[in-house]
Amino acid sequence: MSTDTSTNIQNKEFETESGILATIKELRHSGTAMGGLLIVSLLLVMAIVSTVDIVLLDKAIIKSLFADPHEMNTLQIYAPPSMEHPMGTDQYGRDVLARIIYGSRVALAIGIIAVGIGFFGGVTLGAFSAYKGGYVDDIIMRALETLYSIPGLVLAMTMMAILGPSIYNLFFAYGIIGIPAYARVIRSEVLSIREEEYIDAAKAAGLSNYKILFREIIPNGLSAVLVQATLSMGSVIIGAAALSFLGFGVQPPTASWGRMLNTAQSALLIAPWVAIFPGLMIFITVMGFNMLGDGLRDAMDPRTSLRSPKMEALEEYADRVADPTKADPVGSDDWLAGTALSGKDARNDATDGGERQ
Amino acid sequence: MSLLEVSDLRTYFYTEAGIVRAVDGVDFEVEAGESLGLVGESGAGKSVTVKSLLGLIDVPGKVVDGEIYFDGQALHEMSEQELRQNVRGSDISFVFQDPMSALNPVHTVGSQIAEVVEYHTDRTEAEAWERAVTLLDDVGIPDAEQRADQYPHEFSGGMRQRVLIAMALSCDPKLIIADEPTTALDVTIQAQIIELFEEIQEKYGTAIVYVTHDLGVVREVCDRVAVMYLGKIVESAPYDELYQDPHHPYTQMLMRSVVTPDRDVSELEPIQGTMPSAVDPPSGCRFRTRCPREFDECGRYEPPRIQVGENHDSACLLHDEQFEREEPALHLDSGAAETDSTSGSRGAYDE
Repeated sequence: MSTDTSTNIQNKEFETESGILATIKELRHSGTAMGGLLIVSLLLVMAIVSTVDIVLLDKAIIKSLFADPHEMNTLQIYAPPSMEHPMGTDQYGRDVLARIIYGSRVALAIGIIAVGIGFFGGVTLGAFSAYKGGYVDDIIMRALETLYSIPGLVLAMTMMAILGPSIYNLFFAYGIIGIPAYARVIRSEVLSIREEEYIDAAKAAGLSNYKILFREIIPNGLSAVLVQATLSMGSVIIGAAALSFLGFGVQPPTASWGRMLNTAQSALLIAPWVAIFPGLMIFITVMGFNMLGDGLRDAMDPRTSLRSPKMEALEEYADRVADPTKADPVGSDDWLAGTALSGKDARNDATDGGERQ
Repeated sequence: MSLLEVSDLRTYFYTEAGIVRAVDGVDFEVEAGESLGLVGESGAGKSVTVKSLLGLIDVPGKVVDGEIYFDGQALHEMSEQELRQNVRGSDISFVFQDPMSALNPVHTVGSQIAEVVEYHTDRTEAEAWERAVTLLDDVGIPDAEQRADQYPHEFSGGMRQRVLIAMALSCDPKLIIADEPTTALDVTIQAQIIELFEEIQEKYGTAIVYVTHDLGVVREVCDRVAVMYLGKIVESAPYDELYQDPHHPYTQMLMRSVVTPDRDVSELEPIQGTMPSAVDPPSGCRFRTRCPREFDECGRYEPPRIQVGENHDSACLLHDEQFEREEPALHLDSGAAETDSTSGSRGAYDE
């Protein structure tokens, strides 16, 4: 066998990666997931630019592009969409587009920070609970399930009422509400992973419980929680918008989509654009996160493949045309990979043997 | 004094079906630098025996009795913490059966070895990595430096077993316990791994306990063999002696059921029946339900391990002179022939 073929086989093996990286690579094959990724990236760019703008540049960028989102103009109240104000103006004559761009900052911040709190809290509690088992598990999980049984919005409103309406309390409230969901996902992951032989091996090697939990178990279960996080990002953003709409949460003059909807109510008939555009943004954002989350979930599920069979066949054909050595039956017999009969393994073991001599 | 001395080890599993006596009074010794083969059918309690040594039995299992002395230390009296810090992975290390699942898929092989080194010695991270690369090179992995930076899925089965062996060697253990180290590999790779074990033993003088059901593997590597049946050791002898002159009926039948190149497959005699459940083992001798030479007394007395040669003992009443008579006399020595009181009478009448 020529050396060309063996490097080929090696390269092929490198492609079959496991874990988060492979999941993200698999996403390329799904149109909706890529669409979701695009929306989320655009939002991220918008949010980062507006944050830099407000903190460092004193709204210089937004002013040069559109208008100051906080500047009132009594002459321009409820101006319909025009060249000057592409999305019209609100009841104080503020530019809706500029406010929507600035609103992305708040929406994403809530999404990321609240989900982050829920993620870390949930992963730590759930993993610890599953690993300890017994009474510890019972107590932690029952407590979390109690929290889970209360509707999120009601709980958030109660917490905001107690803590007082502010954006930081909004992060906190939605973070706490998210914890049980992550805890349950990671718990089931840990329960199955801790039975793996590499965990026994780690124990036999004398590693501490702490090391085994955080280094051996949790990294293996993270991808499932990551999907949960992406999927719940949408609902957290909706929830935060709902709270702002109800008057809790983000306080004026900070631009937030939920609050914009709230103020738009009073003039829904004469100036529908003030409500439509923020509503549309919420819709697009949540949709983007859900599309991405669905794609991630499918990419991680070994039973589904995001590649269509036709595409796969085409790709394989293209590979073979581009590189005739792949016509070698052993190299292209993918279905044998991983079985004891796999030519790949036999070949590797043969080289393994050769090196031993 | 031997490196490892185990006496009357008992590990029970408390299940809903009853108490599973997986290991029920096992005694053995391992000298420094020696290799002992622990053989037996599936379910004989081999793996549980070796896991009990390091306290690796999970609920519902429990080591209920027994003394384990390793290098002068009483392992059975140590706390979990002490075992973890001073014994597991450092003095005694483990090689697992399935190399495909015994490595963590999310870490590179080098970092997995380095982690153990870092944890048990006071080497720095960089030194531990150095050590990992050296070890990988030692166990015959080509381009160790690059390979250390790769993930387990980039290795073949044989290579992964080498990685696991490197990991086991990482803290210069005095004893390596290999739990069916070649079972999951194909025959050519098995031979290479066995060869590697032999090299290690020569080079480092490590004592090795092989757990296996493969008598062929045992022949290659073991100085001495202990045969287990249903939670007990029934015969123990140096390999050659056991092969040429097995005393216990079970060992004799086991030897007749082994495929060797000079024997026609049609001559093989499989042992009839299956091993009884360890929840309710037969009274007296546990092998009697499948033993062609069973007689009345077998159900009444648990046979002690009787010395039948130098370093050779076998737990069968046939070796006891008093039973060689046609009409066995009534026995006074109840100490040597303990009856299993819990299941004794019931088991006897079941027959």
